[in-house]
Amino acid sequence: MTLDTALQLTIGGLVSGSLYGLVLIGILLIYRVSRVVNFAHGQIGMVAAMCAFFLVPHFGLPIAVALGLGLAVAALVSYLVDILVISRVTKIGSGFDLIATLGVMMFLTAIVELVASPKSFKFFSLGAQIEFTFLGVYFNANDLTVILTLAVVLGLLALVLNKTGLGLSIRAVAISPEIARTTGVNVQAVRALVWAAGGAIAGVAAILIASKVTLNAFYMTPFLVKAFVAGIVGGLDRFVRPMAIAVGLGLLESWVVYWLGADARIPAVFLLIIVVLGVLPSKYLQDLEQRP
Amino acid sequence: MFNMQSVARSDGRGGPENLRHMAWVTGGCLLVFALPFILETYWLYLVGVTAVYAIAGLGLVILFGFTGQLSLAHASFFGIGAYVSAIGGVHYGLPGIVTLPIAFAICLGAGAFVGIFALRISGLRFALITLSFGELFYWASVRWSDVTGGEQGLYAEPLSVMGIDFGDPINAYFLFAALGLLATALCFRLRDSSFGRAMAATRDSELAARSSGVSVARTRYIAFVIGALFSGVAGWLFSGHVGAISPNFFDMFASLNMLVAVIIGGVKTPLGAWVGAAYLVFVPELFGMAGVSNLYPILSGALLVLIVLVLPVGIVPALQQALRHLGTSRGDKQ
Repeated sequence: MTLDTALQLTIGGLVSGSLYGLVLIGILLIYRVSRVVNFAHGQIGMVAAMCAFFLVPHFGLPIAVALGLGLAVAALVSYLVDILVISRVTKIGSGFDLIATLGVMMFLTAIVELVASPKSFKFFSLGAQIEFTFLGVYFNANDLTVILTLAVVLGLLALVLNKTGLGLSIRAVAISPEIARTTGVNVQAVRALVWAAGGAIAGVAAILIASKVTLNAFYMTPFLVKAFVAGIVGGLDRFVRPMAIAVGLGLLESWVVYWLGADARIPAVFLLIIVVLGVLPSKYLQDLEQRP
Repeated sequence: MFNMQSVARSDGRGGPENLRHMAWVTGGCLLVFALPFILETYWLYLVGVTAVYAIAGLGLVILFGFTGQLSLAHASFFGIGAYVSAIGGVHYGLPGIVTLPIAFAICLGAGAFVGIFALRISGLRFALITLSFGELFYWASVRWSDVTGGEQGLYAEPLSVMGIDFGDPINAYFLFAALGLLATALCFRLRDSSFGRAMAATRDSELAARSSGVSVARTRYIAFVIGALFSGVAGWLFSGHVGAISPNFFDMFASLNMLVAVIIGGVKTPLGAWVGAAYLVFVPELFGMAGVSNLYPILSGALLVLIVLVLPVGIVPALQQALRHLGTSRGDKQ
């Protein structure tokens, strides 16, 4: 194996790991503020990609405008899911949120399948045709966009959460909505904003993923599963550890596929999960805070 | 003896309650015997499929409803049972009944192995472990195509025991009804046993369970193995009844569907598994008859959300509550 190949594999792994990470960010953000495991997250993103894809031929919109509108729709859908379903369900008791978001996921999938017909489509290439070589490693603009987008989203999020008044409110709501309310934070507005932002980030992830795979109602499932794997193993109430696991999963897959072939991808990932969760000392399995 | 009587009397409802149970059981038996005269063969076949899914659902009721453990490998155990039956028949020419103990043993082994993880991991992380085993099972059932038939799957011989051909829907119906009722009775017995109370304590408060001497890890482990066995036996029945199996019956979505079904029916009561199974089998059929089968998935998602919002306990407990309410208000008038 040459250095070029190693670099190439690493870049490829970083790209898919970044996509898992992009899907995961929104899940973590929403979990932070509302303690809800959002199984519908991937499908909310898929709505953005589908909207953008159908807006371009039907209304002759430029791709950039269509993508922007798609993200707005995803933000709206995510906000509505919280208002109409999640905020009511969490009042009933714990555990029901999971099932309700599962229902939303099935519902969105079925709607898109009905509207878009159960066919597969080729999404916009988003720079995949712009190719160049650097230090003997092959790049395309689409891959770079993915890695850059993750960096930008992470940077923006860190900036907003740590340096602004809004970020302080979000962190306050994450720690305790009741106490935040008594100090004058508009908890409902913060929640709505976080769900909408989560939906838009899901849209960004789904649009980038769509440019790499065939577009249909189910294309987000493997990415959602990997994001959840990283989130659940790393801890949904943490940030750095699950994000690192998400990127690590991408790298692992890339190397496994090279050494053992594409068939080995699924057993490698899931065997690793079983082994890791089976042997990891239990102090790494504790969550940061065990809320009643 | 005196005490027993006084307890029964002080309860004040022991007599009528018993009578009501007798009435329910008698009514149920009558229905079981009446259905073959009312329904056409195809619908009888569907009732058989319902009974099979109900048995699998009972496993989930024990695992998720009684003990509070989420499993995404339930359809995989179902698949183990189904594949053992089909592979035994196709590759080794074994009669169906011989493969039952084999399926039982393999499911016991697999459940006992996966369950080990339940000893130290719970909640979402345990669900992830079961998902991982489920994905591995699906992967193996597609890749190991020499034996499993790959994505195409296998044809399975109908079950035949001592000259009785259970390929005949009426025979199959009676067999499945009997087994389904037996499984349901087992499930009720389990709920009302001391182990049932240990499961409920584990589900509702680990701390309270521990402090009253219940071994939470052991309870989880046993519940998981029992759930796996229910699902495995149901899968074994499924293969002979439906006649053809393929990996799609046993993937992650199949596990999710089983979960959705018992939640809609009512996850804490064995009867919920029956309502859930009937929903899984008959609702798509009815949508197909109405020519709108593409609307079924939308309904399924919306219904799940609606049930969680309006009847979080599920259909069966909500109905029971309504009936009880009706009964007391009638009693007040008298």
